[in-house]
Amino acid sequence: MGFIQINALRTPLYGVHKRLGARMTVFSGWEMPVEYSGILEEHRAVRRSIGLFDVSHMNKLEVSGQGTEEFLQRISTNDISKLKLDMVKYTILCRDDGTVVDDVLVLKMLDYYMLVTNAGRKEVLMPWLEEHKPGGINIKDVTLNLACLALQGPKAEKTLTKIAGSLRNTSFFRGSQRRVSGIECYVTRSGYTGEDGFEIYVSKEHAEEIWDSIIEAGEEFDITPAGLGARDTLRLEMGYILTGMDMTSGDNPLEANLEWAIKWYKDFIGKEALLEIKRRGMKKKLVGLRLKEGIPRHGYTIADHRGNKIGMVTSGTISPCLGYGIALGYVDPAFSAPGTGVNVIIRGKPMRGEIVKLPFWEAKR
Amino acid sequence: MKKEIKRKREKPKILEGLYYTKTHEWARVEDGTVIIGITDYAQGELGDIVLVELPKIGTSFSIGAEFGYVESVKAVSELYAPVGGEVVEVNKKLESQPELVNSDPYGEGWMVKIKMNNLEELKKLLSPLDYGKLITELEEE
Repeated sequence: MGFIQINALRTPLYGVHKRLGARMTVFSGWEMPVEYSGILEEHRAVRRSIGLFDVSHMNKLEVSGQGTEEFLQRISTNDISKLKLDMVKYTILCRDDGTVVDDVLVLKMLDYYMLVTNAGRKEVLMPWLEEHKPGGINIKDVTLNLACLALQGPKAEKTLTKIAGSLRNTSFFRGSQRRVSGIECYVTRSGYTGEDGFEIYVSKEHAEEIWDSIIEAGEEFDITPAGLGARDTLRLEMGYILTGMDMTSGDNPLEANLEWAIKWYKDFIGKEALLEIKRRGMKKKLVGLRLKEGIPRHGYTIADHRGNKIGMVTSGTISPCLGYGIALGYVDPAFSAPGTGVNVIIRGKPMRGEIVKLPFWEAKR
Repeated sequence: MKKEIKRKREKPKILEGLYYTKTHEWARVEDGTVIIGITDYAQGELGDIVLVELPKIGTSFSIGAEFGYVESVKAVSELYAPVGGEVVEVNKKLESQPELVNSDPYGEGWMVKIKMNNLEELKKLLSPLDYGKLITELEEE
């Protein structure tokens, strides 16, 4: 028996998903499309040409007021002071002990900073932000007011140019306010698939119009609506983490290979603890692994060839592009070198695999 | 011409002449053996099937027992025996073409053939009509 939780939130594009006959699920309190024509087909369409995703469920916060930049700088592992107008930065927010609150995108807008954060971490993030923000800082939750559409794939620029003007000067992690089919939107060159692509923020009352407009523009390139199922297989092929799955409140960013998002020359909450962890050495390391046969999944044990547990799978699937099982998981650092043979226990049976370098797939971007 | 991008949400097919389980397996009696697979409703609910794990020839199981697994991209699902018996044949095609279960669940997507222990067990299964009622109820939820 299955039923949809009746108090799940709906995005402004819910009507579109129903119209297209999407299979829906509840994800982090949102009623979202898992797939329309099928996960494999949607995944391949994104790599081959273009796909369009509703990602309106992502938490969106407008942060403003006196001292906002200092506040964001203090809570971010990355250097927020480097942001100029219309720039995007990826950062981690940590607690004093170095454990993760959330990973977020920070967008510098004209009158505020926009934080785009994980729907699944909202319950952890919001109280923590409230606790740490100085008086005078205003945090406005605009999640329900703004829709967000992700257009991803090699034909993304050609498609969006038709209705939004030239995007040649919008490089990766840059944004701009512009009209898309005559409607004011904020467009960033960004995404979670590894392909070239854009995330389009628009006021909720124009969401359907923008969706239809993009679909029409993309028809000549066989644009495919794509759901959360393909979103997950695409990001996994790239080795991108999902906070809440691959990195949670008990983990630190060093273990999750995110040292590149930490700028040691600046101050931030959790810095001392992370320096200490770096000095002492990590207890576990997030790695990519592939299997010869079988599909690794969240929670499956990773073992050495003698059957001793050495870790756990955090995210796993079959790679639609590669045709074999791939996973992210934590292992004892002694087993983290690419090429190391490991087993994943699937239904009690050890299935042979090896640690591999990330990404699993070389995307075109 | 505007392309109609619509998910194939046709009514799930139910074949006459088959027996069905509440867990969405079907059984067909043919020349003294019973052929087993999963229904059109089941494959539709699972989505793209990427792996089918079946027992070896000679394996015995009783009615209702777990005899294998079918994996879609996102989920693992157990297969339950409609009747008890011994496996006499396994559909080897599913190793390299698990998608046959999606495209032809009652034909090329068949899973195992068993030698049944007890013909009486067929009486415990659902008729096509009763199975149809079951999935109508499920779709209304």
